[in-house]
Amino acid sequence: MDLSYGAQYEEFRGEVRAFLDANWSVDRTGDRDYVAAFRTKAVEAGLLYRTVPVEFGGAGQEPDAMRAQVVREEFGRAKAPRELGGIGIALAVPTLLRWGTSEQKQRFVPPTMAGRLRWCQGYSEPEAGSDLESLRTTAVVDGEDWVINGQKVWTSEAVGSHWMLLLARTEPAAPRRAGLSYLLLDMNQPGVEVRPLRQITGSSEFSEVFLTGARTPVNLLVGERGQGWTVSRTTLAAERTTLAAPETSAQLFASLVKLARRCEAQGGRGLSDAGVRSELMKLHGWIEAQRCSAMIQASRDTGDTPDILQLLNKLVHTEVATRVSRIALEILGPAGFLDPRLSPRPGDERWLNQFFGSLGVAIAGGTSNIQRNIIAERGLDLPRDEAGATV
Amino acid sequence: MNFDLSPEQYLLEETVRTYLLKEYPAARNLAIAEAAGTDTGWDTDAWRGLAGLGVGGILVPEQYGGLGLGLLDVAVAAQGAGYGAAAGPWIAHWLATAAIVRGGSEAQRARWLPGLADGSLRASLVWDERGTPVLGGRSADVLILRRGDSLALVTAEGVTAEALPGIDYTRPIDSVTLTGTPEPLPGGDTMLVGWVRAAGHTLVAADSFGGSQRVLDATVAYVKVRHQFGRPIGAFQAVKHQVADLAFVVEPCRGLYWYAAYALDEALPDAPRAAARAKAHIGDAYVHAVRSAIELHGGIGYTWECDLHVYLKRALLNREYLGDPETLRQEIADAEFGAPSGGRP
Repeated sequence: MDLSYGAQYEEFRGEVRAFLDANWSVDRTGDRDYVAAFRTKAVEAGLLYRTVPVEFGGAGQEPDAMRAQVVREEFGRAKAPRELGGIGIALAVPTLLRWGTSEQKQRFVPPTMAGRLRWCQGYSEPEAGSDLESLRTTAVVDGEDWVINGQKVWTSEAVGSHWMLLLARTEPAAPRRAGLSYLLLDMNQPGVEVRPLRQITGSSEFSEVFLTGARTPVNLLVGERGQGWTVSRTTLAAERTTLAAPETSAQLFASLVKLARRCEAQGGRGLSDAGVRSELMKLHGWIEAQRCSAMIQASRDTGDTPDILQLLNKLVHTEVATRVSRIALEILGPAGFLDPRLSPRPGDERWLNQFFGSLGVAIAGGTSNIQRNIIAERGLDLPRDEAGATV
Repeated sequence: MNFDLSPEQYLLEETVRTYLLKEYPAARNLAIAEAAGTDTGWDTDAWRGLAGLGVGGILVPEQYGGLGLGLLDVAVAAQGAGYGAAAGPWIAHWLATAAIVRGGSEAQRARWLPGLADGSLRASLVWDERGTPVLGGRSADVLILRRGDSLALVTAEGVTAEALPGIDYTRPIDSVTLTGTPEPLPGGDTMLVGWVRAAGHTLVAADSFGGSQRVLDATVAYVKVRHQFGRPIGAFQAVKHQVADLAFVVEPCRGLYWYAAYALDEALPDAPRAAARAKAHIGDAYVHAVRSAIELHGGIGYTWECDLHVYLKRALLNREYLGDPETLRQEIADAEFGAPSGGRP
């Protein structure tokens, strides 16, 4: 066990700091051109999009989780912009790099990397949520096109997306997942209708998407016919992002402590309250457990077979979010019944967004109960559910 | 950066665990429980057996016959001991031995360490803190006493020990009265007092993690073989989810005690907090884990014959020893945020 980074990485850290000193000024965070130019320089310096090949707009570096961690730490310290978020970067790029034809890669990856193409993920359907394998949207070949009919739901970022990563049934005779294929679909066409869904926060981040005779060229099939399920399982490989989650938790904890100080200063329950201190320390126990587990995972190579700690990550993340929301509600006082959306100058009631969002964490990307199935069946080798719902 | 145990450390944990599973199956632990309260109150064979593996001297420098390793190595042995519900006051022995290693005079080290390392002598710890009885006070040859901010050493002749009716049958507890004159431990200053307490938090946390793993493993095995309604109960989602939640409470804990031990070995400034946090978090997790395991075992889990209660009772002692979870959480909060304004009621 050795938590030092070693001379090699400390030298690299020096290089990253020198780069930031020379190229980043935090005063210009609001200057879009400056930020875009900074990102380009950071890619050229091998610091952002590290493992994406140079020809597709990345830095073309060998995967190295420790270097990625040093970059995250130093960029975080300097409050410098990091990689763009969103489904395009997180999902479309790795999926296309792994499975796409060279034509698909050339056409889609560079503009996605540059932030010009936005993507959404067309997986879930009204009758296929946790049981995603049973999805019913069909795609059939008609001449040079696939013709698609069906309905998607909970489609995040559908409004404003240019393209959809679509999972559709192309082989009706094949059972469940074996009948699915992975397609790229232009959102800007008459057969695609996006209807935003209003969430409990009052805003709309996800939508229903109705596909009625929507078309996409046959050459926009990703992978083989019937291989869609496997393609859809592509994750951010190479440089594991495990270490990022506990960093987010630590920042959330720091904000929560500040909130507790503010609430107390305003005459509410706060940091001097033994109950609040106790709950904060219980939460901190979970956050430290999450951090230590992430470091263990980063120190091990379990290949493609996730170990029990990896399988538990989402439940632990949910536990942290839930505990944060509970403590925030305890201390918010009167701010706890104000609508952050309607306040002209929202104050601490913005924590209600975290409170609502913690429910989203428990549901999105596989509900907690589905996680428990996976943990029990894959992690503890308990008998499979007869419905065979887990993968 | 590498945050994982070395192959040697995994082997040490496995050696202790498999020795105990083989030599101390449930029936033998239950016999120890049955004999609780009699004589010295514990199984000296178990002591000799583990001592024969060298665990008494993990921290003791090689010149005194030990292995000269760190607290993390002791902690992984403590995990194995917790898994196998090792009989005997090992935690007190390790802590008192560590105090002599770090704070003893040359003469004290030469007098005691070789015997403590090979297990022919036993050490215990008299710690003036609420909820902290003397583990194995009657059987100790030498005891380390905390008196305020300093440590002193006293031999068995200098104390009288009286058995307390402890609920944890595998680790007898005593109240100890000083009758002789203790010798000072030259290096037994505030720093060492803090170190020994933090090391204690770490070792108890490791023991609790080992015990939690054992009851998880036992439960996973049980729900696979116990059939009702024509299938293993582990096939029912309600059971499956409760077992998954048990794993969720137990598995992410290990790094907490690893980090605490590492931080103490490396003298990192956050070591005492990390140790207290590990002890509080895993202490609660252990009680929760055994309760859930017993519930999942149904009626058999509530019997004396099923050894889960041995673990439940170890969890109860671990929870209180050197500070209960809530006390420790308030301590860490004081260190993180300062004392509460307006003071504590």
